[in-house]
Amino acid sequence: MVQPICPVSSACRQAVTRAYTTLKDSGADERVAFEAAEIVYAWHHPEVPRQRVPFVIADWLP
Amino acid sequence: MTVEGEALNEIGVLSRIESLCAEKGLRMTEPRRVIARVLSVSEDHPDAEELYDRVKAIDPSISMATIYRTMKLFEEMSIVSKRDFGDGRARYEKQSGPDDHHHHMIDVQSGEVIEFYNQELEDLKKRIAAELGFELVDHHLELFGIRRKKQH
Repeated sequence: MVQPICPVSSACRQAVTRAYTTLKDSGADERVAFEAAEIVYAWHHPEVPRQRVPFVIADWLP
Repeated sequence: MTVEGEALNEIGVLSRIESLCAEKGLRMTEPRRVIARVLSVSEDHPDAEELYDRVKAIDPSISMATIYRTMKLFEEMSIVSKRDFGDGRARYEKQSGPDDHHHHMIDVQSGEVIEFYNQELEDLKKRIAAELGFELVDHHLELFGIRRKKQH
């Protein structure tokens, strides 16, 4: 399965990092923030298998 | 001190996974060291979230993203093996060597995982490979089942 390439400026990547950092900054638990970021990514890329999602966004998040 | 913390204190200078990292020339950052040590003392097959919970008890600054990145790296470098027990979660275990080779029996109802070794099975796999013109270099096997009810 070819993984979509999402540059830093892409809408999905910005949405994912924004969701995560916003939640973290507001004091949300790490797991909650990470799960939210996964859901945001999955909404942008429903074609990517769910199991792959955390590994993809892990490269984008601190 | 947590159970993980006590177990980690019992590890010698280098855990098995840390040693493997050193052998493969992987630079050991502090998060990698903590994750390697937690994995080394794990008797089960933790998924990334379970690993995160254990790591967090030792170093709360380590993020979920760091866990996933590190596990991807460890897997790519054959330091750990990724397993799929059919519950949609990637689970990890130490790369087994010739001395601790085993397979898994998974209870689909409870999720319980039992490790087993069967010499007959090992011989059969080698024989099948040989009959197909191969020398077996690696394999893994996960069996899924439901516990049989006890007869009264």
